[in-house]
Order: sequence, then structure tokens, then C-alpha cells
Amino acid sequence: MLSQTLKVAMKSIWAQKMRSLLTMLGVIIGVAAVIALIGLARGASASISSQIQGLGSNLIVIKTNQAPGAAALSASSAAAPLLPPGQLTPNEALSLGQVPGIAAVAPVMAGTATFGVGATSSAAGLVGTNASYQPVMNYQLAAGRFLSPLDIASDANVAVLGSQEATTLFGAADPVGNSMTIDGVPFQVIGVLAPKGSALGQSQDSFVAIPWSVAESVLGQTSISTIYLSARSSAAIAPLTTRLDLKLLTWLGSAANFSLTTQSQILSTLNSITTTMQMVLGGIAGISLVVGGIGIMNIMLVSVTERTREIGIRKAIGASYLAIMSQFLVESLTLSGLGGILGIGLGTAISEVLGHALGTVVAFSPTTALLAFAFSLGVGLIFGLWPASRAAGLHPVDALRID
Amino acid sequence: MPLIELQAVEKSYKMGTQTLHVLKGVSLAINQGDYVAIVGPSGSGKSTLMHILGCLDIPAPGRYVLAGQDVSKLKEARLAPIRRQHIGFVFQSFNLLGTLNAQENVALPLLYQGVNGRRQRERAKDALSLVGLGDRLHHRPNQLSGGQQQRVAIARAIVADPPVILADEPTGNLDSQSGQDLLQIFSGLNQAGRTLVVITHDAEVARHAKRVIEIRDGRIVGDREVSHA
Repeated sequence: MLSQTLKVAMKSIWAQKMRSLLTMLGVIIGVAAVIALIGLARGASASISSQIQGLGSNLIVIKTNQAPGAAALSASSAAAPLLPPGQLTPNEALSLGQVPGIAAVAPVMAGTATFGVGATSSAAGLVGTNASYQPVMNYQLAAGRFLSPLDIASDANVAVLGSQEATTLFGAADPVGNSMTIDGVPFQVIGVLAPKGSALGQSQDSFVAIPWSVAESVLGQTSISTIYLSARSSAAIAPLTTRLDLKLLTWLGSAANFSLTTQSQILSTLNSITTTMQMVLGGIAGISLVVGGIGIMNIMLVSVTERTREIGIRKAIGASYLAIMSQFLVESLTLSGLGGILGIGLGTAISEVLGHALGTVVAFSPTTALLAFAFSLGVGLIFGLWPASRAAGLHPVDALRID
Repeated sequence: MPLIELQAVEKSYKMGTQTLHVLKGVSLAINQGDYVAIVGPSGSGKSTLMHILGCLDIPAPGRYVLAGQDVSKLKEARLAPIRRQHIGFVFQSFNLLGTLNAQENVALPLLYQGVNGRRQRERAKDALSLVGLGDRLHHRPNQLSGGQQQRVAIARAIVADPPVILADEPTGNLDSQSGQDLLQIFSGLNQAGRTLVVITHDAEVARHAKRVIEIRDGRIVGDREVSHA
């Protein structure tokens, strides 16, 4: 019975090819828009998420909000280094390693410096840190080795180059083992990092890392501006933030003097933004689907009027209310379902083209496709109900009188 | 017990402020195996009578008992299965569906009875063979002559084996030769035991029937047996 009803529906859709196609167009465009827009949004959110995850594993970032300059003089001139409130010493930073749950601590003294190799010079970021910086920040080595604990302890004038800085200073040549100057002081290059690309628009490859013990004298400062910590596990992050918060409060006096951010916080913020974006885009596309549904309803109403006599004949022959109802419902479902399938095809094609044109990843999601298809069927059902019940409710005598 | 029994059937329509009394108390009984022609001029109420006999409409007031069942108070939803089981229609304008071929048209009543697809095709083919169109199964109505289309309609009316065949001006759109052929088929069907009720103003049709009921201004004015010498 159902397969015959479907056959009848296909037949009457096929009998009016052009009209059926135009009717479906609304649904086709709606579904295609849902697929393409959500695909774009998902692609964007996936690439942002992978950038954030690339920053490090189970990363916690502490930043102090005080400019470090002023403290440097008093620190170097006084016998006992006494920092004004709001600043951290390297030893304080390193002591965070004893907090249970912390896997590694990488304190960073950051500044800018002029780097020179022969006649070439460039100004870029200088990072004074320790051996933990590489694992905590998830860097791979391209050549040589990273800073070792011994380099820190012995105040060795050794430098590790970010991949971009290595190219700027040494071109195609291998920098490892060569010497360079940092603000005029000679250093030996011991390693080059593998490129990591940019995160949130910032290059992560344009800097030089040296032991923090050496950076103190090069930058003329003793305070730590940023501490990167990695937690032992992602589950440990939540309890850790409370402990770290307490410790930093006693050291720095006020919560206004520092910020503590975890990777999962950044991720969840971004996720909520991209989820909102997906919902907004999906909603806009969904509206066009509903408009498509109204188009179907319109044509189905016309169709019921045109086929009043056919309905009368079918009823006279014994078709029940339900039989006529299901005939027209199946027809509008077939229209919207076909539209949905064509829309999925078109949307996927648009996603591919957009992905190539914009150079971004467009994530096709079977769930979205299925959802869009189900939604278009739902639209066909809802907007088919009224015309179908109108057809089914026709009185056979009245319907037969129409020519 | 008669197959069809009408008791004091009336029917009126509201036309704006006026009420039009179309049937003014019609009582009749038709037995199984009968071949009845209902004749009358246009406007006499015979079309309305045919709608009521065919369970397309209900009398108000009045009583209609079909095959032992009182159908005069049934709602449309309950009338559809009655039509499906008891009535086969033949219309003046054939009323075939243009998008379906002859076999599919004939199979329609079986479709609504829930007969499976293969049985539908077999029985439709048998019914078409019975009216001499066994070689036209896959022709569309527009590929058939008027007489052939009406024979397809007859096949559709008998395919589900209903006790009553109800025909409304069946020869109205046919040339005289096709009309003759059709009456031959009707006589054959009646001889095979089927009950036929034909509404017509064609005297030739009435001559073939066993009984002629004459209707005028919503009342039965004549009811006579026809002798076939």
C-alpha cells in the first residue's frame, strides 16, 4: 500500500517536472545553506580549537600585570632582591613546581632584543626561560638541543632559535654551533625549534630562547612576567587553579595583579562562541527551510484544487479519508525529502568550493546532514498536513461536480 | 429482503435563502439480480437519487438500507468503506484517471481494499478481458476511444465484485454503436447475476432493463416491469 502510494506520488511529481523542481528549490536552498554554513562554522571552530590545543598540553598560564622595568634597578642595586608587590621572582615561580599536580614549570622573562649574525640583525622577542619551556609549550626540535638545567645553573650564553628567527638570521644555513649576538653579547646557537605556526593571529616561531639566569643581565630585570605550567592531567587542572590562586594571592597581594588562565577555559570560551555562531547560522538557514516549506504548502494547495475531480473519483471508488490524506502527505514528503537530498548534495558541493576558495577547512558533518534532512521532512509533513486534510475532507459529490 | 431499500427519502439543498426540495419522499426496493433503469428529465432529481443510492450522500430525512445495513445516518468516513464493498460506479464522463493506464485505473478499487499489488494486476487484467479490452492493459485513457474508456470504467466497477453496479448516464457520451456494445455488456453482467441500477434518459437503455422507474419533480411517477419477448 505504502509503496503504491509512493509510486503515485512520484508519478504526479514527475508529471509536473518543472513545477516540482521549482517547489523543491526552496527546500534545496534551505538545506544547502544549513549544510554549507554549519560546515564553515564547524571548520573554523575546529581549526581554532586545534590551534589552542597546539599551545601546549594541560597548559596553565599565569601573567603578572606589573611592568617589570622599575624593579630591575632596585633588584640589581640592593643586596637582597626586594620586588614591589605585583611581581614574581624566578625562584618564587619555580617553587610552584612543588604544588601537587604540577608536572613542569617554565618561568618566562620576556622582552625584546636585537639579534645579530655578521652583518644581519633583527629585533624580536627574547624569552628567558628554563628546560621545561619546550615540553610545556609543546615545541619540537628541528636541530640541535633545547636549553638544559646545566645551561641555567652555569649561566651559559647559549640560545635556541624559533624557526622563523633562524631563517631571518641564518637563511638556509644550519645555525647550530654558530655564534650570534644578543644586544651585543656573544651567544652560541645550540638548537632550532620546529615551526609551530601561529595561534590566534600571533606567530609562535619568531623569538629566541636563552637561560633565564642569563636573561636577567641581558634584559636588566629580575621579575617574571609569565609562567607556563603544565598539569599532570586535565583532571588535575580544576583543583590546581584554586591552589595556585591562593599562592599567587599571598605573593602578589591582589587578584588584580595577576591573571590565571587554563587552556580549557580558553577552549570553552571559544567553544561557546563558535556554538553560538553555529546556532545563529543554522537558524538563519533554517528560516529559509521554513520558507521553502511554505512554498511546498502553496503548491500542494494548488494541486489539491486542480485535482479535486481526481479526489472525487478516488473517493467514489472507495478511497477513505486516510487514503487521500496519506496520498497528499506522501507527495509533500516526497517533494521535501527529494529537496532535502538534493540540498545535501548542493550544500556539500558549496562547502567544498568555499573551502578551496577561502583556504579553510570545511567540516562536513553527517549529523548535520541527517538533521537537515529530517528537518526538511518535518517541514514537508507540517506544511503538507493542511493541504492533505483539505483534500481528504472534500465531499465526494462536490468533488465530482467539478470539471 | 431487498438488496436496496429506500423509505420516504427526501433531500433538499439550500440555495442562498431558498431551500430547493430535490427529492420529495422516494420509496423503492430493488432485489438482488435486478436490472433497473431510473428515467426522468433533467432536474427531476435522478442525479441526487443516484448519489444517495451510491452512498456518496445521505438522505435527510428518510431511511436507506443497503444489504441489510442502515446507511442513512452514516458520516462520510463510514460511507467510504460501504462504497468500497457494495458499489461499483460507472459515470457519464467515464472518470478515469488520466495519469494511470487502463490496468492501473481498473486496479484502483482493489488498492483501496488493501489487495496486494500482484493480485491487483491479475484481477484488473481479468476484468478488462471480460469487457473485451484484454489487449489494452497499458493504454492511457487518452489513447482509447470513448467506448473503450467506458468499458475500462465498467471493468473498474466490477473488479472488486460489488453487489450493486450503479451507472449514471453511461451512454451519454457515446456514439450509438458504442452505446449498443455497452448495453450488451450490461445485459451480460446482469445475466451473470449482478444487480444493475442505471440512471438515464435514453429510451434505448431503458428498453434493455427489466424494470423502469420513472421519476419526475422528486417523486416516483411510474414503476413497471419490462417484458423481453
